[in-house]
Amino acid sequence: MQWGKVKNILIVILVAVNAFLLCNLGVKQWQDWERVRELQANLGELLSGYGIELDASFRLPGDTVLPTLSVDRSRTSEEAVAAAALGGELERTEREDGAVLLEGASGSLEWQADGRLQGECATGEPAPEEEKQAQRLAQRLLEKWGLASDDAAYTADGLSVTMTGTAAGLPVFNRQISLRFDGQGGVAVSGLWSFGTPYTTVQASGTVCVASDALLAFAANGQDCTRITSMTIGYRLQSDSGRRLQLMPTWKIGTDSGDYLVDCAKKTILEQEN
Amino acid sequence: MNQAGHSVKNTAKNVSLIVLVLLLGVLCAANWLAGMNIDQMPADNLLRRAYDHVFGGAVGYELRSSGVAAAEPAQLALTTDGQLYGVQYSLTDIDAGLEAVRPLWAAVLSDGELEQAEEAELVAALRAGDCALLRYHGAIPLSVAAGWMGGSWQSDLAVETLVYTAGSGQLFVRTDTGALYAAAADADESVLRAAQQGFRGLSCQFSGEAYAVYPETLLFDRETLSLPLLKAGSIDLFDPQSGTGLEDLLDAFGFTPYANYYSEQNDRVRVFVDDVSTLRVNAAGLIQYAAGADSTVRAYDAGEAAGRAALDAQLDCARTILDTAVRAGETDTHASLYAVQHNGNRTTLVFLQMYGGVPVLGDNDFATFVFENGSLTSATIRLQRFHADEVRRTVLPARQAAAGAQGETRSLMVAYRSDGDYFAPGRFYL
Repeated sequence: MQWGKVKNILIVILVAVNAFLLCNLGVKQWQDWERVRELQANLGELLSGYGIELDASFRLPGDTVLPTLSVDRSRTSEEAVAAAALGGELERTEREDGAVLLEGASGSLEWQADGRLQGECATGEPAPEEEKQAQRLAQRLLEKWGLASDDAAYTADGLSVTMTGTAAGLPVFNRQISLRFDGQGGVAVSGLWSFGTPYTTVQASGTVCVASDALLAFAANGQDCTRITSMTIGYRLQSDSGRRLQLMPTWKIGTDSGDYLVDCAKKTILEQEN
Repeated sequence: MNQAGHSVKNTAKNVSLIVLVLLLGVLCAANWLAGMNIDQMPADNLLRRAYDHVFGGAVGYELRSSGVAAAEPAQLALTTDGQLYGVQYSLTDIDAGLEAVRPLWAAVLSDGELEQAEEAELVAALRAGDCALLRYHGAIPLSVAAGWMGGSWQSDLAVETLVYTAGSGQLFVRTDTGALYAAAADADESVLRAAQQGFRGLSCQFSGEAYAVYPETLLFDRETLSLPLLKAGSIDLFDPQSGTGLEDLLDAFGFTPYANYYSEQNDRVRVFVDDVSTLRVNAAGLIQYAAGADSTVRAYDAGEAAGRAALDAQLDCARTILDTAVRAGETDTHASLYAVQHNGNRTTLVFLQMYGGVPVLGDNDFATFVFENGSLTSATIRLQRFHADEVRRTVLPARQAAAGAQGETRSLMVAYRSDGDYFAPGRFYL
């Protein structure tokens, strides 16, 4: 037996099989790409009927299935944040609706049952005079208070700084904390936040997030916009009937008149940002 | 030289063969994966999680096989600095209290030998030092309650109230029939101190032997439990405006949106049918499911789970369906486990309907699930939607209710009950 020839034959067979598999994969990918392109073109036509056009840079995101996640409210973490922000002894007042007011030497913070936070306190640092200083100080304060995470992103607008973060690796569109410096050593805090790792159970089924369905539902709802520029999948924090915090799969649709959130399951438009 | 050339050629062929075989494996895997609908895989599938990591799905969340409590406690209490403090009938207070005392109960509920105990023994133990109390609305298997708290206990005794007395180092449990059992229990002093630091509530006392109620009944000082009257609203599960509520509900019971159905009562009732099960949905909120032993709704596969794990899986399955149903009906209520009954391979789970932290009682149970060998064979859910009225009613304080109790010792409970056009809160003897 001439092993050299056998190897040659094997190499030829393997090359042929690999080439076939590669072609097969390529055809599938091309078909997928073509299907998305066709879908986007059809969507563009349908949307034009509503007086809305898709921006040239718009790319229709792929469909996905996301689990609805739960987050436990952590009063310990809320109190730890308040202790770090307000310093000294804290006076705690609980209200019937689940809100907790924490008052300290340098101000007060109120956490609502649905994760909303608002309050005012003294920073104990020189007041920032411009945007970059405000952003640096906000970042330092939020890190000191134990709110900032590794993936936190900051945006500044004058003396107002907003921090956003992700949960389960995806953006949570309404989970953000804003610090507004008053220029006299004080800061107003407001926003919506959650603590701890989100969870789901094995039995729980996921929510199918279909971009085209959400876009059509959005357009059919008669929104005041003429151009859609982007579409992103993520989560939205909300409290359910049992006052448990949940992360609901949500599309964020960017338009020329602002950003809109569309619930992936119900296709309802929830709120308009900006 | 010729031999050296052969050797190089041979090596090149060998390397090519190895590379081509590896490439063949990769391409086969890629083709196989491209043909799969990975999005539809369950979240605990390794392939699904790997795919999410690579292609930007949801990652970094916990996947719990169970452990999500199917019932909220009705009351919690803990002695701090010699004074007993408690919280009751408020989801937010109970949540906050639970966060503080969970590690303590995890330490206390770490297996032991339960023996029948006397009431006098409990009364003496309540006076012996620091105590902690945990009371549910219904009878929960001790093993399940222990699991929710992070502990473990082998017994399936259905308990309503658990009392830990640090002074005597005992755990007392009260069953739904009123029987009292005790076991030796011990929690580390530092765990007790940490719980005491984090727990906040209103001052209260145990009733002890003063009244004709169980000695562990909590009597709050200056108790003013004021709750709104509730008015029942209408539900329309077939309303097109309710999004995918009905679709999700069908999915929870293993039906697709395209399942065959026929209508009754002017399309106010739809009966969905497949080969093994029937789902009857009344637009007003009554949901009835029936299936044979080969039901497509399974808590676990045969032989996959047994004992506590099997019960956990069934609880989780029922809780998930209930969550979906409550969302579909947009009821602003939630469900809480009330009773678990075993009969051979048959397990029946009964749930209460809760508004805030207070049960809403009707003529029938809010939800009942029957599992046989892990398959859901029957389920009934009665969805109701409530609106809180501006009028509030103050519930009779426990101290007064206890003073009015007569005859055999009994327990007290706050609940909503139908009262004409409204559901009114009141305190009832059990």
